[in-house]
Amino acid sequence: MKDNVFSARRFMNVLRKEIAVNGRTLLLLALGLYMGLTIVMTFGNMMFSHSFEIPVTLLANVVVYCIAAFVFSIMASMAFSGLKTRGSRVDLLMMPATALEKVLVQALVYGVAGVLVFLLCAQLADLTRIGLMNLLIPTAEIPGPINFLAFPYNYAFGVSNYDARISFGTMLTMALAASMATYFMGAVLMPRYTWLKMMVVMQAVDIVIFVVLILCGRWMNATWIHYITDVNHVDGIGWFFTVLAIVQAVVCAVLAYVFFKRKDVVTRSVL
Amino acid sequence: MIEIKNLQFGYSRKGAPLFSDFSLSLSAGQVVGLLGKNGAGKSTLIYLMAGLLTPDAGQVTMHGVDVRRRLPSTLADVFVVPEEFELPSMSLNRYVAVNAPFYPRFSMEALKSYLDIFEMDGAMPLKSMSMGQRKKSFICFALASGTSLLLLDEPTNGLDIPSKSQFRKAIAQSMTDERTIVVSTHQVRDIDTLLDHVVIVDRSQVLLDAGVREIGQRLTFGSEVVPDALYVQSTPLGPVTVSPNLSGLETPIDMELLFNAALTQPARMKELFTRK
Amino acid sequence: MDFKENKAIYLQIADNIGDRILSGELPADGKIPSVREMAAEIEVNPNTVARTYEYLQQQGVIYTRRGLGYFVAADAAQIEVRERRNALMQGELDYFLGRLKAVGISPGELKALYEDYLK
Repeated sequence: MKDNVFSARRFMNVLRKEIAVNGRTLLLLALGLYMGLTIVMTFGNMMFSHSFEIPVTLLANVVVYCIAAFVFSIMASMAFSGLKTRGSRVDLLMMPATALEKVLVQALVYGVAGVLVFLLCAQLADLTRIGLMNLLIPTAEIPGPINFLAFPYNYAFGVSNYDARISFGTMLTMALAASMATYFMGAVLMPRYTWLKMMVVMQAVDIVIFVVLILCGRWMNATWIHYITDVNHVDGIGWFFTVLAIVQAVVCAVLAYVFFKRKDVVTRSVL
Repeated sequence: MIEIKNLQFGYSRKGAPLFSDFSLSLSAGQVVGLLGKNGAGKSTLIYLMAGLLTPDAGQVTMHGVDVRRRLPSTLADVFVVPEEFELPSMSLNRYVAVNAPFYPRFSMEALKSYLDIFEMDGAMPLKSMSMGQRKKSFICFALASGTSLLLLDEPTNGLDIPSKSQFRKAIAQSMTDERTIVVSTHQVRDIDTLLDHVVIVDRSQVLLDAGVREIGQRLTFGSEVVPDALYVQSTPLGPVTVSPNLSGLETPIDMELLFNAALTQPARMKELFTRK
Repeated sequence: MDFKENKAIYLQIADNIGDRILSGELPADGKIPSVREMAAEIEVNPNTVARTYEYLQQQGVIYTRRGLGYFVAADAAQIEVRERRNALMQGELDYFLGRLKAVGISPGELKALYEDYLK
């Protein structure tokens, strides 16, 4: 057996094991997600069926984004469930694969796949909404199906791009990625925390980082801080936050890997 | 095969470390008994040998490779059966299908023979098994994995008497010249006939590190109370003793007596085994 | 097997095999279990069984055929009897005779008792 850092065969074995062991839970979650989204969307449709158009579409977007942020963060914090108990920790750490392969499988299943599953559930929920509305209140205004599967593209690259102004959507997508990466890192650092505790801790960490950066900029009297805080350069703030989000996402992802490599079966007092 | 060199390890930064300048060397083709009182650090030593804990100082190597690096080649050659373990909700057969690909020397044939010895049904779901059955299933997989090093932490805990007998049969059958099995236990009588080598630890000291043959040559176990006996224990059938072997005749080793003798007379034990 | 005697375990195993040869359970030129099989059967370390087989081979009680395993020698039974005779003469017999003398049993009495027993 070669000891290269990444082996496709080993990666597939780790992935197969993760799905075999946790697949049932993930399926149930997906089911719960689908049902939850269906209920939310149907109710939303019922309540606003007489005044749809732009507000409704915007509301749908906002609601979906909030749910997405919530759900994605929870999913990311579900990664590394193998670190929770001593018995499963022995199993995870002794699995014959590199740390990189193990971390990538977690990122794939609880990050990327989670997002895709969410979009799929949202799409199906929306179609179900239309079906239910037609069944229950056929006379109501039923907006056509929202194309959820196009959301990532629309969000990430926006409608009006290719000028200095960074699209709101891009900023939000990067923020989402940063949040997920932070919860992912949290899952490695604090495996026994419930997601609620982790959310509080991670948000606190985020706020601290944000405040420190602003204060640093102010103290250094850097030109960029004037650029972004100047109201006339609204796009400046957009770029600032987007870059910050990307940096946070990358740093947290790397730290997740580093912290995982350092993990022992028993956590000792100091990191 | 396994070299522990000048190991230092403690769970808390303050206070005395559990192991200090601890060294031990284990060869291939042996069943090693790791004996010690509860809390003496047997489980810790097992974790350190598997690379599951990071030493504060010193190194643990297997075939010359630092086990803490957790290289896939090392991990595929070591299997740990901890005292507490978790098995997922699936049948044993499915568990094997998911995990065997990680172990290049895994043998389905060997697995079947161990399942036969333990009278286990591979199709049965793991979660609906009793604790003892789950342990036996895990041990079957561990033995069939074909790893050079097998670390078992209190494997007979939770096994009924017939199961302990099956365990001994399985271990005897699984031994090869390239394999080393380390069994840590405080229930010595469960495995005494299986051991090639005995390591007794207490308070981070190695009280005894000797092969079974050497022990039989240097110590006598019997019922005669001699003046320079190391240890005497009263039993309903009379006293049983451990004393230096002056006749050269080998007697069967009473592991429990050996253990007690090592704990109560560490200095004498050390002296007896460093002579010649 | 219960290893309750005070002899080294590998010797106790040798005795057990000897018993089985003398009783006819293991016939001359018949195959005996491999080291591993025997070890699993009696739940003992294979190295101990290997030591037993080496000992029995030295005595000429068993022999190996390359690739096929261990076999009972043609004259194994005779060798066993001879070895046990020697062991008895050199060990227990002295002790036994001493006990007889201590309770005052005469040679004549001993002969009669033994003849009675053999019937």
